[in-house]
Amino acid sequence: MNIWAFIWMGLLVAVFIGTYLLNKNTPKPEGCEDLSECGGCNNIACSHNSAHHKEED
Amino acid sequence: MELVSLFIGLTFVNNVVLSKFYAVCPLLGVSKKPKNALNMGYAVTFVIFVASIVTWCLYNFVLEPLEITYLDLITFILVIASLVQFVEMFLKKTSPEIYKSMGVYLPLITTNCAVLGVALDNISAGYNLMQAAVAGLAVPIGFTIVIYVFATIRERLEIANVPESFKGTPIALITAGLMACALAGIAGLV
Repeated sequence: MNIWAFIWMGLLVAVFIGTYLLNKNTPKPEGCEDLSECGGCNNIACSHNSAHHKEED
Repeated sequence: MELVSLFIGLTFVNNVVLSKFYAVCPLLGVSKKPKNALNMGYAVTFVIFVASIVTWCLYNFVLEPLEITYLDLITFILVIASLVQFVEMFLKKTSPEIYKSMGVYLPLITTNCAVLGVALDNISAGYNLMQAAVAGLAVPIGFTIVIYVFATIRERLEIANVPESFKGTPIALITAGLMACALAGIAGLV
């Protein structure tokens, strides 16, 4: 078993977690706070769908 | 000349949406308004271009020398997901206007199979770096053209006298099929 495969996978996962946390902790610019509501499609399984936001209201 | 042929071929003749049926989900989902379709096209163009170059470099300079090319699929998925996170963070910091125009479509690109498809096709086709970069530009431009034209047609279909049972997704799928037939007509151009 190639040890580099484990090292490479660990590195990739670490990079993804790092970029995810950095993105999450980066504040959204002014006027862009409420972009999560989307009416692009009818997929209500998507958390961005406006149906979820209506339920919250 | 070879790169021009590759560009035209991937944009029109072998359009990924209408010949390989990649990215059909955003084609149907984000084509209700032409403006949304264009924003999606811009975001996809940027991500596919960067992703195709990065994945090509990783495959040839990391995976092949370490003899772990069997990890290409999972590597590309993680690279694309990380890249989308990074791009979103970069736009938040530097270009609020672009971030606002792309809105929710930017994170959705992670699940766009055209991004992964182009990265894998670049490797399986044996492209060099320049060819991979051209493919990374031609494919999303073809996607943007198709999704924008499709959105404008759907906008007109909203006011057309469509039979009740064909309204919505059925007529959209028939339209996509007719567009695929039209593009198939220019096969052999390059």
